[in-house]
Amino acid sequence: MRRPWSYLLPLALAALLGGYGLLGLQSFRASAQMAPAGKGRASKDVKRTAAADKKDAQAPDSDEEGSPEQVLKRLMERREAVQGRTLRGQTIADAPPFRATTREEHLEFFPCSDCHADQVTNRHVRKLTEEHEVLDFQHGGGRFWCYDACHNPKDMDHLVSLHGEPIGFDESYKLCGQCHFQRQKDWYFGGHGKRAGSFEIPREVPAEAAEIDFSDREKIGTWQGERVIHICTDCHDAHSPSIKAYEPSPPPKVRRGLTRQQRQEEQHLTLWQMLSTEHAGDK
Amino acid sequence: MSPERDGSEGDRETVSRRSVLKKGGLLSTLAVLLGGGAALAQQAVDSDGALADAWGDFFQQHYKKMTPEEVQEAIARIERKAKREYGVDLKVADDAPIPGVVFGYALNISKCKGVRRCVEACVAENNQSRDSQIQYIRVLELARGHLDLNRAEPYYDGAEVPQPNKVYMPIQCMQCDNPPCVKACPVEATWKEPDGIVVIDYNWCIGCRYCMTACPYWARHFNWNPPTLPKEQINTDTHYLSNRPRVKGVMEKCTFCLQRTRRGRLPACLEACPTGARVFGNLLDPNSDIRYVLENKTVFRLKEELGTEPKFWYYTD
Repeated sequence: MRRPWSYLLPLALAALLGGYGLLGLQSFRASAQMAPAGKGRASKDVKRTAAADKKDAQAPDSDEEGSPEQVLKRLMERREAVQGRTLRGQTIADAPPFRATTREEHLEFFPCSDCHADQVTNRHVRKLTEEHEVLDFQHGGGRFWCYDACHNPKDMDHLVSLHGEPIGFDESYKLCGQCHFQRQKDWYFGGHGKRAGSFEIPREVPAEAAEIDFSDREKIGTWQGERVIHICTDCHDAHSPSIKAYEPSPPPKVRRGLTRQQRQEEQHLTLWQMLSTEHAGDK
Repeated sequence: MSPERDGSEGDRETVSRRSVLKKGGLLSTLAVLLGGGAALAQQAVDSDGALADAWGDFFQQHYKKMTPEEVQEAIARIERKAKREYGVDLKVADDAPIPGVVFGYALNISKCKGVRRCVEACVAENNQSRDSQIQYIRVLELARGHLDLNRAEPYYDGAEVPQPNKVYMPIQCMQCDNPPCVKACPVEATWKEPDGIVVIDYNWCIGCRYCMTACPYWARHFNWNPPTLPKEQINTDTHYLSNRPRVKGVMEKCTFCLQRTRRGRLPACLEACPTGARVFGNLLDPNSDIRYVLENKTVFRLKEELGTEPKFWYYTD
């Protein structure tokens, strides 16, 4: 015979657990309600005030009164204030001083006017011959022709800016930076490019390190003192600027007495390829 | 013939004393003769001072406990040894860290093409064994979009790099600010210098390889065999804590080319890189190249979650 408490006990247990559960839920809800009242709301308020301040600050901007000089002065003051706050300047004018390597002395046929002075300018896109036969026009996917952005038919000894000002071959970074301004900024500050070092021109890095001349102190680069940086055309061919493929140096050796395990060629599939192969397996 | 057998009981003491004196005289003569012989023999055998240098090496103190004179003596021993073994005039420097300088390195992985010129320059500059597995820089080939080092291929070879859909990531010593290798060393043969470079005293290292196990970057290497170093390829511009020739049974590692960088020059790997992927400089100088990279580029450090605080950043542009 079953006693009444034998089924009352599980019921009571269930009721207890349920009660605790409800309590837990309530306390969870309470804490959830508490949170915005504490940190969350405070941060929101801060954000809101910051945004409001910004709006207030910007409000006079839109309908700014005064002469152009006054507006300019106000703008310059604001710029200086911003620059004072940031750790580094934001323009290339703030870059630390440097000296760029020279290019003209390495050009094979410089000065160009030796030949071009008494030649008629031919603006037609064609296959170049004679001295310029080796040129490979890959810059911009072959969209550029000599006089489109870089050379000036009236002054072949200089490059020419988009404003028509002459730029020396030693300062080609000013020309390149007209389009590649982000790279140019990195270059000015040292995030792109290379400091002058053991090699005269990085494009001609020797295939074997044994050829590196460690005794030639004059070409040695430094991390302190004067910054000497390679200009764009020391590494990039101006007419075909992407870096060409190299032959890699030999792989490392395996420890003596051991053999190298052949690695299985792993397949790296895209998501849809994986899905399609799974699907094929299902069939 | 012993004096006890032929002498009587009465004058035993006298005989005994005399014999003792005789023996003593003989022994002392022998000792003098032997000593002179040994000295002569030492002169004959150790004419180049190898034995004396080995003796000096054996009792050499820890680098940090040596007086400047003792360091100079140790350097002289190293130079004499190099002259004997390789026939070269080695110059071992002992440049101190530059005050106010902490070195940092950044590497642009979107520029690295996996050419391994850095490795070649490193081997040549740091007098590494030409016939061993020891290379401070290991260039990993990864499938594009993956940063799983378990699936990286350091032994890639071929006609040309970069291969399509592959990216390259060189790893070397990160000169951690919280170096686990230093903690693992039981004899304090390795330590972090004030300019942030982790160095080894090769004379103090016992070759237990604990640091090798502790390093998460595969940056420490053990000389399992005597290094093979062709004498015509030796770089004679060396530093006591860096690229002086090592011996069998000690650890070695990258020191950011201490012998160069403490004199203001750039590391050999940076100078050899044909793509300009490497940036080196003083982390404490707000105008340095490295600080620009750290402040303006997307940077990450390898296995940062381990808390080793590497001073080697990877960046992309």
